[in-house]
Amino acid sequence: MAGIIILGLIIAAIIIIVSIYNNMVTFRNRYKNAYSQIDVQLKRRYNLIPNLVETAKGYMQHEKETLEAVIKARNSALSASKKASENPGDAASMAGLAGAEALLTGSLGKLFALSENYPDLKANQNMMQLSEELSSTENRISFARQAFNDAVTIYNTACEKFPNNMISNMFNFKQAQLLESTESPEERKAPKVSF
Amino acid sequence: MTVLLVCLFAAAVAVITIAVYFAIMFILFCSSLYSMPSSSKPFVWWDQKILLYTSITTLFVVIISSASKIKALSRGGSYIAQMMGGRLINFNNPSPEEKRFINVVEEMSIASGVSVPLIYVLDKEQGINAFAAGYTPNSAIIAATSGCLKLLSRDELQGVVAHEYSHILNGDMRLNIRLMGFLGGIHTLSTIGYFVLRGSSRGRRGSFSGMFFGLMLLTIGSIGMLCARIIQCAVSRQREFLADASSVQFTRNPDGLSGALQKIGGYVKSSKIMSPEAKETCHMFFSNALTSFFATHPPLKERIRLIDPNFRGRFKKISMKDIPSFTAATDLSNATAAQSSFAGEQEAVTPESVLSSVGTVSPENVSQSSDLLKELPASIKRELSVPLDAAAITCCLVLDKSPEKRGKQISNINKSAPKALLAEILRHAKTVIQVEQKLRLPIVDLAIPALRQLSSPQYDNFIACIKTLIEADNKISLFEFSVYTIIKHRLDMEFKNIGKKTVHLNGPQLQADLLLILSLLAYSGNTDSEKTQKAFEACQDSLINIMGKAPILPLEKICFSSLGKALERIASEEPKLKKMAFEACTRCVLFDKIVSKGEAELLRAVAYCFDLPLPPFLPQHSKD
Repeated sequence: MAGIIILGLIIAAIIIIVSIYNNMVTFRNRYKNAYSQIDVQLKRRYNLIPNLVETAKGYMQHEKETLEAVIKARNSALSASKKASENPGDAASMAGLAGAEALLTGSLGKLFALSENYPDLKANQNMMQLSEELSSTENRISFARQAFNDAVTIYNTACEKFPNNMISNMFNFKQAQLLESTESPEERKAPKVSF
Repeated sequence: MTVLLVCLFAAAVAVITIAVYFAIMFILFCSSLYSMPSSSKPFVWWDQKILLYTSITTLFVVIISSASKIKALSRGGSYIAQMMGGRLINFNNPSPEEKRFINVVEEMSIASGVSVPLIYVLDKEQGINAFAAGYTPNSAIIAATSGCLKLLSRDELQGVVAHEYSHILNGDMRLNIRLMGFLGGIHTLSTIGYFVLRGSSRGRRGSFSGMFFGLMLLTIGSIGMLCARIIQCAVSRQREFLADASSVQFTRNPDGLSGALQKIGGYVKSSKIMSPEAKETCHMFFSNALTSFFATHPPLKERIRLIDPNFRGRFKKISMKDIPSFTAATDLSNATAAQSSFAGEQEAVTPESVLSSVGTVSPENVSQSSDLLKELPASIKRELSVPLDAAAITCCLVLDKSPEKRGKQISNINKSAPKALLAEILRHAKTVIQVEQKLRLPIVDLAIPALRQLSSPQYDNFIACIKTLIEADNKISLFEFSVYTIIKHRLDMEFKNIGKKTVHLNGPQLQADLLLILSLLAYSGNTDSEKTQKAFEACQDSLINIMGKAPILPLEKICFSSLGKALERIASEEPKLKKMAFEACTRCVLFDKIVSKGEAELLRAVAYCFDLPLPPFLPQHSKD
């Protein structure tokens, strides 16, 4: 008699554990999927930048350093994003990406600020198009990042709740890292420079 | 069908209970032999007490785990697709095969009047297979294996997609999901058996009986799975013939579907699914996902012969090497033959023809919607797949044509809307305003997969934003109402988790709701007051049992917000009532046999809310 009751309890516990586990997996998949939205737009941004630099080169011969800095920042951001997409939510790679992105946004901001001195470049059709695309891509990135952070928050909260925390420890569900905004107040101005 | 399902399920549970009982008795019997081999007392095989306890425990396990499974599944098709290892197709940057799949699915959705489902690819699966899942037609997902995308031609793919759409339109998916929930419960037994077996074999104290019991449970679980498989085939096989027939009806191209089936027959990996979850989901697939004695689907040859009587019964061997290299041009070789012969046909729109089109698709619908999609500006179509842009474009749809009013609308959202969204709305406004009216509702349909990927705070922002835009001029047009209703109905299911349960309204509430809806339709469908009155009475007659006689509401009393709520309430009613209500709506709108675009859109919004897939029914839909 007692044996059967204990067995029943064990079984109930197993069922609860399985359903919590499945929940956690779903939340995890959700934020990973949300990250892929960021990834697509980041890639798009990295593809636009070389074109932008190429166009600017013709007009800004004296700003070689700035242009090279943009390309360098773009390359390091690209490799950081590759690392991040392998393991979205990982603290180190998220911080790496946020840092690289901040650097890139900063150097782009400098480029745009300098381009104020070159009216011909500002009037260039290609440049206008590229900068418009770049700014809409940045909008998309910020929007996708918000969605990703929302998904991560839901996942993290689910991880911390009782009794989920016991299961998340048992099966090694790690806390995921938010992707912090790379926009500081002065950078925020950068993409708004209109041509 | 559900009744049959429940009966079979009960039978399976009974079989399992008895098996568990005998397992326990057998253990007791063995242990009694072991402890006192020379006991004179004969062993009692019949013990009511133990039977009672075993049946309670077994029922408890099966019901609890079924319930938890059903609850998990209530999150809808995405959950199942992810469980199967599905990857959400990247709309922004699809490979050519994926692009083709997306196109085929989009055409079929617009043609049948359901919103575009989320599209998944099962990358790891090489077999040719596909499935659709979801609680309602408008929250469905559709998934195909990578083998399916690589090996099938466009026509064959269209046949497979049409087959899955038939499941979506016939409401098979709800049954399938419920079936999966029940089976999950039975499946748990074998999982528990596995755990007990492993646990006791690891324990230091040689608990022979524990191990034995685990083994028993595992065996019983397998018996349970066998029962489950029988249930699966009983429920699923007939449905497959129906879906095949519908697929041919939708595409009017038997060669496509039969070609796909023949390729499955000739392909080494057939339609097999490797994922371990296939056990629970095999009844949802296009073709047999597991090789087993109890097939969930009828034999391929039989299926082909029913579509194509000339089939000789021999499959041509194919392998991955035979695939023609993929070019974008293959995508254009679309069923143009069917198109030309029907282009001139224009039927008069009668209530009967509209009602009979619910839940079906005609090849004309498909080619029409394919043309419609081609007319859409490429930049809009591309960007509809990005969540932010999809939200912005949908907001732009309700922007006013006159610059002053538009300015007022924008200034109203200026403060509340997120910065990124506002910027994109401003960017898209110029192009979207010039989009023709006939393309506007299809845009909403196309935007939905991307909108489903918003996070829930973002969704709240988006809804608040579109609401402010609509209410800026203190007037709500029929189109604005339709857009808002469709989006809200479609996405609330995703984000607020509502609208999945059937709720019965009490009499007066139902009457008031129906009265409101029909009154509005009568006003919008007919210009002069006499006709309005007549139309209203005509449709009231068809619902006399439910609504009784009530005078039409005066126009001043109809407000859109209460109308929206009334629609939502009826939407959660049982399907039969919704169908009747929709019939009355159709009669009301078509009373004067003249359908304006506004009426057509309103009717589609109503059908949408009621989850009745209504294809675009206006033959002149393409004329402005």
